[in-house]
Amino acid sequence: MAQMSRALSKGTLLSVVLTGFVFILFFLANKGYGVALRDAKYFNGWILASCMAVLMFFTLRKRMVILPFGRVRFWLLIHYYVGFLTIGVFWIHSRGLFPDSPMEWLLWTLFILVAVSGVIGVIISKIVPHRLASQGERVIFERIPIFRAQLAADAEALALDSIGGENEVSLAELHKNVLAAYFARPRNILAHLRMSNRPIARIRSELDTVERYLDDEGKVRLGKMRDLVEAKNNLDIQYANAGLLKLWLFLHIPPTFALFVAIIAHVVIEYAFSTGIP
Amino acid sequence: MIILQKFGFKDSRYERPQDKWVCGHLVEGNPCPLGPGADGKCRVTTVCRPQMVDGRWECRRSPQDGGPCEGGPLPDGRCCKQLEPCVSQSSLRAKRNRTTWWAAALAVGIVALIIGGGTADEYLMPGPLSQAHAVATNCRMCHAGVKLGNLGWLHRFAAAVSPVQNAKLCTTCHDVGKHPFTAHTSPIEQLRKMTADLKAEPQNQPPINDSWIQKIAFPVPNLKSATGEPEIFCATCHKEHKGIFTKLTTVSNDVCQTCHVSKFGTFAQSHPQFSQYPFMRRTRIVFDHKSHFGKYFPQAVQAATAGQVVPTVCSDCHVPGAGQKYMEIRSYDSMCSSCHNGEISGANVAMGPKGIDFIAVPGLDVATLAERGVDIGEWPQNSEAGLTAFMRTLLASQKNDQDVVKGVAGLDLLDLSTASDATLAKVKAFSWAVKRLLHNLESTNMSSAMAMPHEVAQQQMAGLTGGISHDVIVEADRAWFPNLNDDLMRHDQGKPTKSFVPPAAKEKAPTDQVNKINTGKTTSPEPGLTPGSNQSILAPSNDNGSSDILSPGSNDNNSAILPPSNDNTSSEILSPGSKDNGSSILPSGNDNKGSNILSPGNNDNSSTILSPNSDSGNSDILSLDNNSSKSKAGNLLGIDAGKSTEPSTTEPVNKPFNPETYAEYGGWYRQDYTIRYRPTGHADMFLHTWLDFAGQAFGKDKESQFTRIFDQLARKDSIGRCTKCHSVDDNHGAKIVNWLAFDPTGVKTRVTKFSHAPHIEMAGTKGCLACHVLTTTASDDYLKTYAAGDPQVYSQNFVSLKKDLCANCHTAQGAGENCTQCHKYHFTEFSRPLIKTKLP
Repeated sequence: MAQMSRALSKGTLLSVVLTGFVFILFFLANKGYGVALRDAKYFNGWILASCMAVLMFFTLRKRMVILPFGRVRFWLLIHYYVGFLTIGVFWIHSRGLFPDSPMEWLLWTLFILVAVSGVIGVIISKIVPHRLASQGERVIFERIPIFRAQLAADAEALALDSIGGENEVSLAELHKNVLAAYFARPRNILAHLRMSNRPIARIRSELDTVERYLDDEGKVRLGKMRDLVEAKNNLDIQYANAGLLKLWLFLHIPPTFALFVAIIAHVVIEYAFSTGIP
Repeated sequence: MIILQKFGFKDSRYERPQDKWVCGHLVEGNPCPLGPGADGKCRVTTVCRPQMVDGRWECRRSPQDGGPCEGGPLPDGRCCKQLEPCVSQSSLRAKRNRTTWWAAALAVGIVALIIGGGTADEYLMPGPLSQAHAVATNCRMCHAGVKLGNLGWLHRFAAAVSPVQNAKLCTTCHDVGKHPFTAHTSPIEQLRKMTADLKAEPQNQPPINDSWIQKIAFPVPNLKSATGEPEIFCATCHKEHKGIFTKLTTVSNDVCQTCHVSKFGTFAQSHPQFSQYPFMRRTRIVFDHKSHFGKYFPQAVQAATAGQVVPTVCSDCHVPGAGQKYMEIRSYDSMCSSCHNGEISGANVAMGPKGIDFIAVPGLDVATLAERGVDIGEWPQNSEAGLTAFMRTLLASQKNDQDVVKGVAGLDLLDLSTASDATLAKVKAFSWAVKRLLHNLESTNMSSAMAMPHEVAQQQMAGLTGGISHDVIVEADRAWFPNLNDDLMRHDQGKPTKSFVPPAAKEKAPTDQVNKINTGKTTSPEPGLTPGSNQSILAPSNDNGSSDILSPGSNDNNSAILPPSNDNTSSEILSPGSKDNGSSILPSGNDNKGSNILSPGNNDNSSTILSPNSDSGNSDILSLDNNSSKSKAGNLLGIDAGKSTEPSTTEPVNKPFNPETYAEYGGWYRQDYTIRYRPTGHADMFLHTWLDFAGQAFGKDKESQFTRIFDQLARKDSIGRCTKCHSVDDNHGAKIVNWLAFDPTGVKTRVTKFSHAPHIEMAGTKGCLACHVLTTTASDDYLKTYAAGDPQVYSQNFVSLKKDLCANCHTAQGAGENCTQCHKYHFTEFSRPLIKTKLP
C-alpha cells in the first residue's frame, strides 16, 4: 500500500510536472506569438478551445464504450490534467482581468463555474470514495431508499414489539419521539459530509438513556435498535457522500454545455470584429 | 452490525442508473421489479406471471421478492397480488440531462438578448474604449464591414474585409502622413537610407540578439501592399477596448524589436552606445562657447562698459521652450546686442566704408578715352570706385546679349593708356551700359531695372530694393551725369555726345572755355563736369546753335542749361520746388535747403550745381575766386567758385557733411561716387533678403549672376557681419543662411525624443553641467568647420552624451527603459483630428 502510494505519488508528481511543462511551453509560445506583431488572443483563444475539446473527449469516451479508445481511467486522468491546464490558458486568455461586458461576464461566469466545480469534483473524487469505503457497509446509491424503508420498518416493528411487555414503553416512546423521524428519511446530511459524529452520538445517548429502564428482554431489543440506528446512520453517510458525488455533476455538466454555446457565439463575434491581422 | 446489501443474482436487483425513469415507489422503498418503460409509463400490473405446470397454476414471484406466495395464483391463472401502479420519476441522470438542456437554452437566450438587444453595440464590446476614443459611438467608425443595425456586424461575414480597410478607418481621423502603413509611417526609401547610414557608421556593431523572447518569436505576418511593400497596421500595436484609462501608445519593447535586426536586452547592458548624440549637425548659429567663456565674457566684465550685458549663468541665454521640452535661445536683443550691435551697424568699423556698395560709378581713364576719341559722354573724372557686385549683377541682367562686364574684366580701367582699340570699344560699351543702367534705375522702377530672372514676391522685392528712394538715384545721376538723358539719346542716335570732342577737333578747339575765365589753372571738374568735354554752359549746340544759359525752350532738349522737362513743367533754373524731380537743374528736394541754386549753406557737397567745395560754402553762381587753387567747382559758368570774395553774412561756418555719419541708423546714402546702404541693425531686411535670394542662385544657370552678391555679403568681414554668426550651409548647391538657431517647431522628422522637463530637477547642483560638459579640443577646431558648407562636418563645443549617463536612472526598476520613452515610432508629426466645420 505504501508502495502503491509512493507510485501514485510519483505518477501524480510526474503528471503535474508534465502539465506544468506544457503550460510553460504554451506560455512561451503565446509570448512568441504576441511579439511577432500578431494578436495573441486568437492564438491562446484557440488553444483554450482545443483544451476544452480534449476535455470533452472524456464524456465521449464514457459513452462510446465499445470503441477501443483506451481505458476510461486514462481519459479521466487526461481530463484532470488538461482541466488544470485549461484554467491556466483561460487566465492567459482573459489576461487575469475581470470581464467588463455582458458577453464576457457570461463566458467568464460559466467557465469559472465549470472550472471550480471541476476542481471540487477532483477533490471530492479523491476524498469521498475513501470515506465511503472506510465507513461501514458500502451500498449502491440507488438502493438506499429501499434499505432505508427496510430499516424503518424493522425499527417500527421492534418498537411495537416492546409495547407488549409491562413497564416497557420507553423504547416505544423513544421510537415515537425520536427514532421514527430518524428512520423516516435521510438525516444529518451536512454532518455526514463533515464526517461529524455528533448527531449519531446524540441518538446513541438517547438510547443509552432508556437502557436503565429496560429489563433484560428490553435490553436485547435495545441492542437490536442500536444496530438499526447504526445501520441507518451508515446509510445516511452513504447517501450524503455518494449523493455529493452525484450532485456536483449538476454543477459541472450543465454549465459546460452552456459554456459551449457561449463560446460559439464568442468566436463568431470576435471574428466579426477582427482587424484582419493574422 | 446489520448487513443490508446482498449480492447475487437471487439476492440483488440489477440497477440501471442510465435509465431515464425509475419506479415511483422507490421513494417508499418498495419499487416494483419491472420499472417504468422507456416512455416513462408504469408497466406494473401484478407481482408475478403464473405459469401452468402440470395442469396447475404456479406462482412465479422472484426469490428477490420473497419467492412464490402462499396463496398462489387464482384459478383462472391470474396473479392474486395486484401491484399498485406508480407515477414514474425521472432518474438522476435524466434530471441532470434535463438540467443541461435548460442551461444551454438559457445560454442561448442570454446570447440572443446580448446580440439582438437594443444596445448590442454596447453589450458586444469586449471592454470600454479609451478616453481618447470616447467619440466613437458606433462600431462602424473603427470596424470595417459592419453595417448599421443590431445585427449589422454579421455583414462582416458576407463582405470580404482586408486589414487595410480597417486601418484606413483609423487614418480617417489620424493623419500620419502619406505612408500610413509602412514601418514607422515613413517612406521606404528613407528607411533604407537610414539603414544604409547605420551600416556605414564605423562604430556599427554586428547584429545582436539579447532578447530571449525574440529567439522563440513566431514569424511576422506577411502583409504586403499592392506594390509589394510590407505593411503594418495600426491595430498591430494599438489595442483598444482595454478600459478608459488605457494608454494606447503603450507598446512593449519586445514588439518594437520584432522588426529590427538587432534585438536588445536591457538598456544599460545591451543598447548600443550613443554616437554623437544629441549633435546631429553643427550649430546653426556660430557661437563658440569656449572662447566666450574663456575670453570674451571675462574681457567684457573687466571692461565694464555701460549697457553691456554679460551672461553669468546658462539660463541667461538658454531657456526652456514650450513644455520645457527643448532648450531654446533667447533673442539677439536680450543676449548679444550689447556687444555685437556696433559691428553690425558699422559703428565699430575703424577703416573703410560702413555701408555696402550698391551702385557706383566705376572709375575710368577718361583722359585716355578722350584722347583716343572714345565717346562715352559725361563721366566723373575723379571716380576711382570699383564695380560693385550689385552692379555686376544688374549689368548682367540687362536685356542684351553682351556681357559688358566680362568684356572689361581684368582691365585696369583707370589706366587705359596701353589698351587697344578693341579694348577701348569694350570699355565704351561698358560705360554706356552703366549709364543705361543708371538711367533705367531712374526712369523705371527698381524691379524692372533689376530684371529679376523670375517672379519675386512683393515682400521679397521690398527687401531686395531696401526701400531705396527714387530721389537717391536721381540725386546721384544728377551729380554724376547731369546730361545723362541727352547723352543716351545722342548715343542711341549714333550722334556724338555734347561733351565729346573728337581728337582732331580738340587740337583746333581752344582750351576749355571754362578756363577762359579761370586764372589759367586747369580746374578739376566736380562731379557733373569733366574737363576736356565741353560742358560749358555755353557749349555749342549742334542743332540750333542756341547756347544761351538763359535760353529756355530750346528745341534741343539738352542744349540749354535747363534740362528737358518730361512733363513740360517749369524747368526754370530758378524754380525751386519743381515737381519734376529730374528736370530742374536744381537738385531734388530731399532736403529743403538744396532746392534753390542760390541757397547757401547747403551741406550736401554734391547736390547743387555750385559745388560747395569751398569752405566758405559760398555757392553764388556768379562768384569768382581768382585765388583759389583748391577749388574744384565746375560751377555753372566754369568759374572757379572757390572762396567767395563776399563773406557769408547769415549762416555760420558748417562742418563738412558726412553722409555716412548721417546714415548711422541705417539706410541709403551717397558718398563720393557710390550709393551705399548702411544696415539698420540686426536682422536688417535688405541684407537678409539679398543673402537668401542670392544664396538660392547657386547652381542655377539663369540666376548664377546673383551669386557674386552673396559672395560679397557673406564675407566674414562684410558690412553687417551676418555670416560671422549665421552659418551658411550648402544645400544641393544652394547656400542657405541659417538665420535662426534650432527651431523645435521645425522638427518634423525625428527618431528620438527628449524632454528637458523631467530632467531639470535631476540635474542637482551641477545644473546643466551634469550632462553638458565642454570639450577639451581647441577653440579653433570649432570655428574652422564653418569655413565649409557641410553642416555634417563639425566640431562641437560640448561632449556628446553617453548612454551610461542615462542608464544611471533608466532601468526597469527606476525611470524605465521602454523603447517608446526615448524613441518615436511615428517619425513624422502626428496630428490630432480636426473636424472641418462648414460655415453656418
